[in-house]
Amino acid sequence: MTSLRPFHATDVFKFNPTNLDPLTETYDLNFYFSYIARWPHLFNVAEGRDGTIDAYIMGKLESSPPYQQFSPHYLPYHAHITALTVSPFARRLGLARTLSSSLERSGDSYDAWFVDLFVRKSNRIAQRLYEGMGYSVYRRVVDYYSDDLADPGKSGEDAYDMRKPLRRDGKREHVRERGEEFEVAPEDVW
Amino acid sequence: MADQMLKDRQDVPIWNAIDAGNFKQALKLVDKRLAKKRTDYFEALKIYIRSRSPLLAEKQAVLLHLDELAEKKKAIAELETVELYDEAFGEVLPEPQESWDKIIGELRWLCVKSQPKNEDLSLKCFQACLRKGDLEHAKQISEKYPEKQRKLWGSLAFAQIGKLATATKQATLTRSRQDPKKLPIRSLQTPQELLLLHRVTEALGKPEQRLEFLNDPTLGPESAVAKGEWQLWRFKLNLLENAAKWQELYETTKSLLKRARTKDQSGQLSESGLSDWIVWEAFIRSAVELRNHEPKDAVIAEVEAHLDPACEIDKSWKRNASLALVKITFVSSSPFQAQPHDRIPVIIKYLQKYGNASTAYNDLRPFVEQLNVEDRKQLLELILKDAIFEETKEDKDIKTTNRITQLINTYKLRYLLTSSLPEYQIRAGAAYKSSRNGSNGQYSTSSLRQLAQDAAKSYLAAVHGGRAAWNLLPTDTHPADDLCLLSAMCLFKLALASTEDSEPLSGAKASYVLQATALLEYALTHSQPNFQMSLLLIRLYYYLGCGSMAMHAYKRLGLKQIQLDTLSYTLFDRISTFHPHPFSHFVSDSSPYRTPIESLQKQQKMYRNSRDQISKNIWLSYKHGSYNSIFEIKEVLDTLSRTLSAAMSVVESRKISGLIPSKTESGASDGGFDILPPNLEASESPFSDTNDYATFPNFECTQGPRFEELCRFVPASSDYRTRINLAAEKLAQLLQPIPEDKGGKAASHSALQSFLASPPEKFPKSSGDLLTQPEELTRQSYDAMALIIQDVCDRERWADQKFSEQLESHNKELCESLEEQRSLVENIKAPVPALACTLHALYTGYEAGKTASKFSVYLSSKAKDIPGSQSQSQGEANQKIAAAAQRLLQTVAEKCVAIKKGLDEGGLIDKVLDSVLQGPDGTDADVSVLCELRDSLDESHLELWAGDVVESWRDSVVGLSWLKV
Repeated sequence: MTSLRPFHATDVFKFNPTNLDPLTETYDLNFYFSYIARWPHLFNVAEGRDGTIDAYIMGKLESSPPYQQFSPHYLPYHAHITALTVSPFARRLGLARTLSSSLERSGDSYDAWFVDLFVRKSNRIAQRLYEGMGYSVYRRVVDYYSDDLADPGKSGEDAYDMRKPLRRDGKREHVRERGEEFEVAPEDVW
Repeated sequence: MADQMLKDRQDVPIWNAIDAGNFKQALKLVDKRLAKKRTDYFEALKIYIRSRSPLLAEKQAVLLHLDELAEKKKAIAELETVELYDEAFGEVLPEPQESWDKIIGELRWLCVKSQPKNEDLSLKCFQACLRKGDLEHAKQISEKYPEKQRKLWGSLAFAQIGKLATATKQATLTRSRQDPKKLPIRSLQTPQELLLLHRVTEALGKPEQRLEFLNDPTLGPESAVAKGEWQLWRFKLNLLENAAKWQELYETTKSLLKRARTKDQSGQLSESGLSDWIVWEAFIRSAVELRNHEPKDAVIAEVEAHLDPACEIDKSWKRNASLALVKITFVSSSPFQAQPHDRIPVIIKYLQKYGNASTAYNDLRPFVEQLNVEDRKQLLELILKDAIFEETKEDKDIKTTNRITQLINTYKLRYLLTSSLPEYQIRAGAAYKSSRNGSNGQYSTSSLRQLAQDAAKSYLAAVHGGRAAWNLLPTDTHPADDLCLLSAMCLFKLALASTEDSEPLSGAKASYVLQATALLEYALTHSQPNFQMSLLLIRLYYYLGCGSMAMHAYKRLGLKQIQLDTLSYTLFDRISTFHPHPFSHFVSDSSPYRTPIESLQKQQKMYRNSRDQISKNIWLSYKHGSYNSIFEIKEVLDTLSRTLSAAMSVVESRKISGLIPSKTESGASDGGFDILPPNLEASESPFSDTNDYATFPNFECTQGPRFEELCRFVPASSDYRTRINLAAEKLAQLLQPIPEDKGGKAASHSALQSFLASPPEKFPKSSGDLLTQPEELTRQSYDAMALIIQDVCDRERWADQKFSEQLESHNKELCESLEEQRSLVENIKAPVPALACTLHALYTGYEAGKTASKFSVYLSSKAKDIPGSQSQSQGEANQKIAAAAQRLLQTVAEKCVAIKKGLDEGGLIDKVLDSVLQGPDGTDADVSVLCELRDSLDESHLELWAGDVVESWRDSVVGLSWLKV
């Protein structure tokens, strides 16, 4: 069964089925609560039987600060997927697609240009999922992650910044082809 | 100021002097009045005058006085007096929030508490606390409000927000289309404000009013203000169901489901989220309640429309429709109908469609539980014949994720049908309940053994050849993992059904536990990220007394931040009586997990940091208009301040520090108590249980206890045990001599006075299994010690006619419980290797003996003061207590020596391997499930693991060297 609901602050006591997965980071309460404080409507949970948290998505709507408006890396008003995680027991059910679609709809209703997200270069499964949903790589952020889960010997891993244009970007001005070849440094990313 | 504070005409000259700034004169006049009559009011007035003085020394003296006042916790009845102190505080410290809460907020709260019926007083103090942002005291005061006033506040809040709701409605009436940007300032304009409206209305218990708001097009879930806030739909469906408005619920849900599969003008399924399972459930419920065919047909028609291949709705929503078909079939047919019904076919159909997802079992479990005996047999037969997934029958290769998941789902169903469900029914039956003797004999061991063996066999076949055959990423769990978990869970239950043997490694119980452990450790070599295996391993290693191995499994979980609250209990509950010393095996010197105390301190640090993070975000929510979030975040703050886990971290770290001197500073001046509200053990509110039990694997039937509960070797954390532990710590603290540089005798006397002022509650014997046997005996000892101190040190009791009799009885109880504890330790017949129950009995016995020893020393000086012959007889009783404590400590020490000696002898690795592969004593092959599978197991891995288990036993007993007489 699939049932969506807003993430409640007390869900931090219940999110171990998703957060014990090595690909999901657990941050301090400030991180989660700042999203509940600022974008409560973009932080949603897919609930399983008995109220278990099967998956959740944390999103935000924003643009780069005004002082960056002449920077080539300036981001116009857009939706961003900060975290999207599905518990190992609830995979292959389409929950990631369902949750990200809900964020895209919110992005559209708030007139955002696109939705973007970062994904590890090694995480081909996630990249395929997003590609299937209309996302494409916009740029590669070199050494964005401080560790490499696939190879603990390495010091860092690149991230792909993937984007999907929303209704407002009818001319597809905010996506590009062969984005994998477009390298940026982590400090260029806001 | 003078107008407000003037109590008596005689005080006029004092206030005139103050107003004139002649503080010297004012003080002189107050001292004169104080000499005649010492009252709280004049004391406060004096402090107020001194606070107005420009001299720094005077201000410091005022602060010191206020501090002492707060520490005394004396209730001042007159509000004027409290307000003088408040003014004085404001003069010396104009801004500091925390100190205001601690001193003035507390004084105001005590004042209200002393006069619970004084409405005016409580209102004034409530406002003052609110004004200063002292929410904690404001909340405490508001709880003391008379009912009438509480209602008044609620009504005011409701009236206020109701007015805003009306403004939104009216503004819309005057315009053809609702545009949130054009709404008046004083109106509801955002989804969060609508959620606040519901929160306020819900608090006042007005469901009809809420439904009215939700039905209103300008305030309901489809209003422009709501911006599609899904929670409002959830509220609406829930309220309609509670109000039994079946026709309306039916029409609403029917229309929502239709909209979910209908494309918008741009060809998108923009409302597909309306196919949420709660909509389906409400649709089915209303259809069934309406009791005619048309609604049921409508459900089936809607299911078919969703499942139509032409319908492009996401697969998660299609799955809801398929499950809805199962549900409507079950709720609309009775298993006792004469004609054949379609319950089994509908289950099979669902399995065939979704059996390749691991959630299929969870989805179907509640329905399978409703099958009658015949249907269960039929389903089991189909499972055993492998006749469910017909289309893949030819495909014998289980090494595809789809096929292995299907196989796992059928194994789980088999477990449910042959083991979990029948066990539950036996346990729930009247015959079992009336004959219950605490044993776990309700398990059908033959079916468990068969299942354990079959599941392990399938698992080993699936992982044969390693991960390479499965194309997995390093961070992926292995698709076959649940087979191994199921097998281990069956072995776990077999262990629980077996009795303890006198030789730990010769018994069936340890053999089953070792088999489950070996299997899970092997599985982890194929699936490192599987946290459910790690959780089970922590528990198994705990039972075995392998602290370092348990820590190794715990470390693998990689817990951080809030997880330290929810999952620390898995290892650290009772760590002081399991492995209080540093881990020297399997954990490196530089690891942050090196010592238990460091882990506990890390947990406490999280609580301290959280307070600030939470309050910061309460204000951030306010700033962004997220009013509903404020309440949610506040709830976390309240919960975290009193979790069982937080109290556990304090108790365990204090116990460890008392036993093993720490090289590092705790970082907390009061030994960690700062993370808990004061006197929590005596508080009326219960502790919050945030321990996460749900993340453990669980394939049990939904009506009975979860597997985590079934597989407890020791009673879980409880409110009862936590209170006992905190009270025991207070007593231990009292008995501890205070060095001269920390206050010496004076501090000790003051500690005794405060102990006598609020003596620990006497905890009755628990009705359930909340304590282990050693803990229960220790509770009795501590209870007796607390009562003796009260009798001996509280002079008021000496005059009581029953004084001698009572004191004698408490002395007797104490000696008896110490003796019983000694006998318990003495009766540990074969303590090698030391399992957790042995370690627990030794550490607990030592703690009780050591405390009783300190108690007798402490009491020897106090008992002299008792008048008459009672002083001498208490002196004699004291000697008996000291002797009983000594005997207990001696017995513990002797047992420790025997354990250490036993572990030095060789052959333990072979014994472990024999227990795993040949069953106990190598004779009972029937007990060894892994015996037949030994060819599939990696024996070299098994040998290495057995070596680690033995090393871990050796590491565990290192801590016993601290248990000296």
